[in-house]
Amino acid sequence: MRLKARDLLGIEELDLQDIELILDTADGFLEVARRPIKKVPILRGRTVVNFFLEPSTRTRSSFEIAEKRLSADSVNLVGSGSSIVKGETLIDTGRNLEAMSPDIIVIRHSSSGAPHLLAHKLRSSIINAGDGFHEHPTQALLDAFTIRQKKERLEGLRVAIVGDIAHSRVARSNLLLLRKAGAEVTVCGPPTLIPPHIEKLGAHVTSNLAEAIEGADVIMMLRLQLERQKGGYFPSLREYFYYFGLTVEHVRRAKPDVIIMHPGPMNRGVEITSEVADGPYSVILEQVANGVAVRMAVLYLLLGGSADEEAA
Amino acid sequence: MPSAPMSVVMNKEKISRTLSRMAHEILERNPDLADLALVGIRTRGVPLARRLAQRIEQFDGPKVPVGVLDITLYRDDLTAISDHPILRKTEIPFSVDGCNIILVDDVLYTGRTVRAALDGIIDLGRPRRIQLAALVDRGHRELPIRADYIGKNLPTSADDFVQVLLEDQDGVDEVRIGKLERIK
Repeated sequence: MRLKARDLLGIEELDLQDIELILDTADGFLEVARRPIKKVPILRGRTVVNFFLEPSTRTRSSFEIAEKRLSADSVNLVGSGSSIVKGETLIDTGRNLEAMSPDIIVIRHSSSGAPHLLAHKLRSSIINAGDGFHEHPTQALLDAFTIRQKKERLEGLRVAIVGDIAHSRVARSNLLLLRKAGAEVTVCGPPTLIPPHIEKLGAHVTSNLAEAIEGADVIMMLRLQLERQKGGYFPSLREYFYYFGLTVEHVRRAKPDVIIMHPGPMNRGVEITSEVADGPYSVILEQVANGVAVRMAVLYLLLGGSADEEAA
Repeated sequence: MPSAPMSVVMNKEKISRTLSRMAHEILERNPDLADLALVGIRTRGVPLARRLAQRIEQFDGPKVPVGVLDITLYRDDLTAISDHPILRKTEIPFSVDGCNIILVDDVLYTGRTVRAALDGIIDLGRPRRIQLAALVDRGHRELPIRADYIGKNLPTSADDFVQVLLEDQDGVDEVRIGKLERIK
């Protein structure tokens, strides 16, 4: 079994069969983290470039750990240390990277579609580690993996995604994936932070937190992306917390076995109280642990030789 | 895939008697049973390991722990095969350190699966000893590997196809042999 595409650009390009293959494969990789020697030889001699043009702690270290556990050689490039600051274009940087023949380039970029551009121009497989406001497929996959681990299914679940939907690629990828898997999704946030036409992707929309959470199996809180907001979306952080901050009182409206998720980094006291984030329903740290296994699965599934190689 | 017809070389009864003999051999050659453990190689080595453990216990041996090993991550042919084998879980519910491990597989052929399994086990710890049991040895080794316990030696040619079917997975206990269909 393999993925149908040679790149992982977004959830949009995957079908349910691909998604299930990635999640099932990740299941097999979980055990590697529990070993005394956390390494398997399957990608020995393969090279992966992690090309991060935006700040990242979790995603970059998660990819790097996944690569190392698969015995691939990884190279890290960050925006401030790359030639991009000297005026080189993305395509030129990509071509120069490719001249050193890496097998996979993992890219994070502030512009939506940057990974697609590289995938179009380069022969290496491209993994999108977050592009602008567009998609963050591995985050959605690890979220789905975590939900499936706790609920044993995705179909028919009620999921509330709360916060800054407009600036969130995590919300978009999650919405696409959950809808493909047959879950019911409600997005909730101030009207200024809800993108127009999101209901066309299959989401219910509300600006009432209580309504969004009522009877939910899963609550996904999003970070308020202050660095992307030019201001004026809501009057104050205090007011935002009053209307959209998740507190213990809210959680009581959800199902008794609800799980609370957050892709990180959290702004404690803005979108979520510490009491909830560190409470019994929170699976936030499990999401991080599962992220490594899911990224191992994606790397493994993309690096089995390309389809044209076999035809030759 | 093999073309019909396949001939049956071991039936249910024969497989059962063979496994009993192998269990006796294991008991005989491992006087210190305390740290014995069986590890089945996915997929058909797993039910075979369970059956051997059952028999060892029946024949007044101890209750032997059984682990499951998936060798997908240790294969040497991942770029050569068109379809990735699906990765499944490795489940070894005991520490392999200091253990006397018997690897169990259905068919011993080139030895490459066993090579991968040895690497897989050694990544999990340092067993005191590793032995190998196979229901069928069909020859044509490509690596210096031999089995300690063999159910049946089956002389084959390279274009033969040996298939082990087990009740737990295939609904029937049978070892069959046939000719590989020539592709192209």
